[in-house]
Amino acid sequence: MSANTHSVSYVLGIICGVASVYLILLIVSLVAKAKYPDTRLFRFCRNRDYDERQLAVRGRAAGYAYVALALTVFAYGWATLMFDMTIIDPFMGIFICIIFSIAVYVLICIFQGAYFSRIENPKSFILLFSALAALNLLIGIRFLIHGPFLEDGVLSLNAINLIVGLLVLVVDIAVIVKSRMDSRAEEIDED
Amino acid sequence: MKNLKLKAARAALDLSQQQLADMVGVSRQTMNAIEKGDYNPTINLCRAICKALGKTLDELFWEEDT
Repeated sequence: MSANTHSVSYVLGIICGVASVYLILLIVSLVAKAKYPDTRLFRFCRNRDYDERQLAVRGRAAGYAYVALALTVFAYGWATLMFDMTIIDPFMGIFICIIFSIAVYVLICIFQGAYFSRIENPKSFILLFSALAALNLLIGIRFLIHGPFLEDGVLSLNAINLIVGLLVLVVDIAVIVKSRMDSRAEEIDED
Repeated sequence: MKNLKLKAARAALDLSQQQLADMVGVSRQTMNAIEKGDYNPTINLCRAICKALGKTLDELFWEEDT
């Protein structure tokens, strides 16, 4: 079904979906703000909010992510040509490559202590990431069970939510693990 | 190489890594990396740390010949 044939109700459904996500994020941010009043949840951090080491780490991470993107796009194109069959929709294929490179960048930054700036509290983001992951995974699993996840044997755009949900889940777990590592390091430092 | 002089100077003032990091405007992880020798700070950051701890550059960052 092309975009031009979508009904008004379909479009309204998309708008309601986006509005619902925004509402949930707003509620989560208010709860996080109440619990951690000195942090800023939805403020885009500028370079000056990161110290010199963090900026260097973010620069290196961006380089690795760029290489990861190039390699995965090449691998996807090569595999499509070699096996002469399409198992992933082309847009989905590129999307997965982009998600992988984002994951490389984010995970390097998180474990090198450069993802969150000095003014952000990582713990206030755990709840937000958990909510985002749960929401996307629920929608993705719904498509997996009830379909259509595959269209004519090809992984379709309906898999986007599942992939995004997995990415956010991995990021959430990484933030939790790193927070615990930092807490333990602070305890050792204080001893 | 670990910067034990920095760690000792910080401990002498009874400051945690987080407190010293806040004083000089860096993250706790950066201060930890400097003390462990995993990161070489710029001269500006070195000066800020020295000012916060009341020490000179030589006292904190000069490497002794072994």
